[in-house]
Amino acid sequence: MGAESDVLLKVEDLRVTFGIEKTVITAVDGISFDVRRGQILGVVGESGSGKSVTGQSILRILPKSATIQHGSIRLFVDDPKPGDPIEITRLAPNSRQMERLRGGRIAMIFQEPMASFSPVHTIGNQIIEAILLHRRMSKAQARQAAISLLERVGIANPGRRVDQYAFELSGGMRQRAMIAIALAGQPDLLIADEPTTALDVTIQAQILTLLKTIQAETGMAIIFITHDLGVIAQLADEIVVMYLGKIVERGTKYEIFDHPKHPYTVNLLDAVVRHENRGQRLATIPGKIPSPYERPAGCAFHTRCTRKINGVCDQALPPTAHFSATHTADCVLYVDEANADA
Amino acid sequence: MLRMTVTRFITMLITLLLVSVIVFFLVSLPPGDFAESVALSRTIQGERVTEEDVALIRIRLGLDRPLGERYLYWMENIITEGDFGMSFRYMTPVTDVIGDRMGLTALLVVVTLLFTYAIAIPVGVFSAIYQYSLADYIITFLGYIGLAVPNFLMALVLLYFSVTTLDVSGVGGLFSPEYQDAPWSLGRLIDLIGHLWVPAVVLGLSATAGGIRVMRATMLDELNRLYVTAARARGVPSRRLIWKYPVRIALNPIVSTIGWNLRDIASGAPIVAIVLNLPDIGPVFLQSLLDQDMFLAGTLVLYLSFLTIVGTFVSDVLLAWLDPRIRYGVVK
Repeated sequence: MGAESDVLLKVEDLRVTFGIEKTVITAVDGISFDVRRGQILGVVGESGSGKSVTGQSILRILPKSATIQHGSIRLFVDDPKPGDPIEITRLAPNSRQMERLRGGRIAMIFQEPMASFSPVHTIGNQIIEAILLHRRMSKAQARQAAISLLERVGIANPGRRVDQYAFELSGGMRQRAMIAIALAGQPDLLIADEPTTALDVTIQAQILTLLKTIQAETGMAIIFITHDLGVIAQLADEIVVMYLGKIVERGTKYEIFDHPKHPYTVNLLDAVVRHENRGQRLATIPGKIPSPYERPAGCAFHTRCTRKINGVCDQALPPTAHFSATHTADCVLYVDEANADA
Repeated sequence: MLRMTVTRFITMLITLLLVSVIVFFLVSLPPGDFAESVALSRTIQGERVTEEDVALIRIRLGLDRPLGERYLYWMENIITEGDFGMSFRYMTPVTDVIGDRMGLTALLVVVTLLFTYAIAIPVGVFSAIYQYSLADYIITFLGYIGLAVPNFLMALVLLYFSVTTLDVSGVGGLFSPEYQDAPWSLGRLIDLIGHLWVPAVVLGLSATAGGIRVMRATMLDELNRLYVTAARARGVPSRRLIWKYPVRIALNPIVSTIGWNLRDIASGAPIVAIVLNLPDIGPVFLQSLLDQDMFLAGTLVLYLSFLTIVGTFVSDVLLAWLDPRIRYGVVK
């Protein structure tokens, strides 16, 4: 791990639940991770793994039915005071301070670029809104800034596009415009929640290249949430793998792709379409993700795990095994590494 | 936008013309005619009325000619001279009988509509934002009462309470006695506004209740849309966010039903006017139908339809102005 001062965002023991009283679903179950400045962190998991809820928790835009039960999300930025992090979980979701963080410090882009825009406002209107919320300038200046943002995200003819509606743009262009909005407040962190999932493969690649270019230019950090390991491979520096609300494995991109440890990660990687596997049947993970209402005891993955040890995996939570300073996995198979660490 | 407005305007004129045909034939549908109703009232008063007398009245009023011819004659005069024909009963031009009253009815309908939206939109938004709160339940409950109570009953209840409990006289009518027949002045206008709220509340009750339900339901839909989350995620303060995005879009169904609301209000207006004794077209309308005073009744029905059709035109144009998807023809 890098020096502590590199850390931009520190999530510790975060637990988020949905619903009330008897029908409580734990969407995120005590996860911890760091995002360092200028880093791209990939968060991988199937639907229902809690990856999007994690992103929404950081921005405090969770649905009404969700509650942050405990844990902390700290943002290390130099204002209001240097060295004094902002504890996001302590801010009220509608507080002035939280509103300033949204878009200003932490921006977010979503899976459906079409639905992310108001259908009755021009995209320019929404970009200018974001600029005026976070920067001091006149409306005319903001309009100029909006046009140059559109140009920067690779939209041709930005002077005309700025006055168009989302339904007049193509899917790829909409996502580019969404990225322009995200950049409007010059954030330190961008949360990208499956931003390429709804796009064609060629457009997907263009958007990924764009994100990477912008990341390099601005030095902002990105949390890239996806179910697609292929996308992560192109982008991320470090990866966390989530399953049913828990982080089961984490490591650098090379550690995860070259030396996956957790059976779930191994299965996920086997399921990626690769050139070397041409002509073979694509591997799948047996079974399906359990209903969040019936969370399995012990290791949540034991119901689908091919290397399950009866009487162990379905009883107790697996220990965390450390393979390097950056690489850990929560699996009983590596109990020796776990003990060595302890 | 301009082209659409013009097309809609032409459609409106055609609709009005068609409506006038239907109106004219509808009004002449009931058996008998004005001549017979005159004969009947004279007989009741003890006069002897012969067949020849009735025939004479018919010829004098032009009632002996075929229906189609009478319609064309009526239309021609309306278009060329703005003459809506004579009222048989009053023996004066229809416009003289109801000219003033038409203005009051239009005013009442428009004020009612404004009142309806002034209450329904904010209350519906509030109800959606605080869904399942105590206030939301109370609003919902009152809304159902508002929907269920017929407005003439509401008018009677209001009349009763204003006289017995509030001790306010003159809730019925639109003017205090001193302004009853006075010429228009600022004082008379203020007096009118002081009286107008009662029929506006009564008439607007069910439309308001309905509007609250519609606004609440669409708001609940819109509040969960991604564009709302996205706006929140870029730091838009919540109050501004709600009014700029979901409310703006939830207004669509409200705006597109202006025409229907206007129709409901216009058709409810005569009954309420009779109950509250308003000097608008209501009482005259009822009497003209009883008398089979063709041109008067026809003009009044035409007028009520005109209000509705114009309302629909206004709502179409407003909708296109509000929603670029409709303006650009992406959504029809």
